[in-house]
Amino acid sequence: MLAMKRLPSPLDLPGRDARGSGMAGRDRHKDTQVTVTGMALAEPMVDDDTLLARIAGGDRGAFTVLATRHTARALSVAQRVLNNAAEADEVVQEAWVKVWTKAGRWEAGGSARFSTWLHRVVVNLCIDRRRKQGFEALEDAPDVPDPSPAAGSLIARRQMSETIAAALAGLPERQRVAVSLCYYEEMSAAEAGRMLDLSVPAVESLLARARRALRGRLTALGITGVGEDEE
Amino acid sequence: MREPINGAGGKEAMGMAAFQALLEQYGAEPRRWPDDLRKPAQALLAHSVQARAEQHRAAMLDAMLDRLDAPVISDDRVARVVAGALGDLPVPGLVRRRIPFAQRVGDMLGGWRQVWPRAAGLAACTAAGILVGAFSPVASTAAGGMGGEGAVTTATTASDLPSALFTPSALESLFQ
Repeated sequence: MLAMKRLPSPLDLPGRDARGSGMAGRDRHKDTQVTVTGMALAEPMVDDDTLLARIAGGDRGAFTVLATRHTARALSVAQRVLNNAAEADEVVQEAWVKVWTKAGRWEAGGSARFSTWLHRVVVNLCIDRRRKQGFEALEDAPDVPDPSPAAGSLIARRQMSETIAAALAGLPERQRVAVSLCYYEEMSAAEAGRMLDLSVPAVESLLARARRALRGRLTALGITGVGEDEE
Repeated sequence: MREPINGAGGKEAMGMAAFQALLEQYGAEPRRWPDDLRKPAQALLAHSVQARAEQHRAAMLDAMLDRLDAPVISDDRVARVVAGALGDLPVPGLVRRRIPFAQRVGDMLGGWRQVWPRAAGLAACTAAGILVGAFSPVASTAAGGMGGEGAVTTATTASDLPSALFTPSALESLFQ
């Protein structure tokens, strides 16, 4: 079992980190189909800082607006890390309760973004949960699909998705989180670093090691065409 | 980790090693590359066949990773999670209120008024225990001196407490 270090919680010390980001399109969520519900649209001009100030005063309406605004992305992050929808729901729900209890400590007008703060909480909760549960063994991976004959079929596509998920699940936790945040959620290394309490080079190192490991795992599972080294 | 500058190619040029590192970290898609490296990397791609081959190789892994199903996050799911969080919020009336120091001291003193009769009873029991303890060493010492019969003697002494309390030797030991 891999030892995981619990990341310092931003809710214990809501740090003010730089807003800078080096990735184009990092706020794009091409894979996440979400439409904002009417509750969030009711107060489209109210910024997060204002809502947090209201939440600190016990305003449940402001809480609902803020939660509705950010839950979809938080769910996406959690589900990418946990690879489990039900657990992701629980983690995000728990994160919002923490936001409610710690909202008074948020520094309005600072350079940090609330979403970074929230996602850091979510990632920490995910890591805690994974650490308690242990790691899913790669032996639990589904059967490797035959990539050529049935590649277009729904079943083959699902099997391939499960195989990729299993390969990701076999990565060390931090590598998997880095891939989830930077590759799938398209966050910058700087933003992921703030969530993981790591420097940009450290995140880049995790990403590089993760890609090498994934290429090796997929090749070992018999999947070709992943840019493996030619022999 | 980064090697964005290649001295041989000028200030803005990127070397092949740096480009390979970029691909290993961020994949083949330029939109994922850091802003400060995108332009030099694209410049290298424009004139390097090897760079394009490396990008193609990285794109193969990207294509495989993209086959992972995206999380399906519906409005209903968002609403359910938000409603669940709302239901879990601490009730304001049940939140622990911070009690002023003076009030806490007053409460503690008030509490002592109800406690002192019990404390007196406890003190009396303790005093009685000390008295009993004061006599026990006499019996134990005597038992120790009798060797193999010690255990029997001690048991007898402990079970015959009233006589032990009022034997002359016990009273004498109290005042020595």
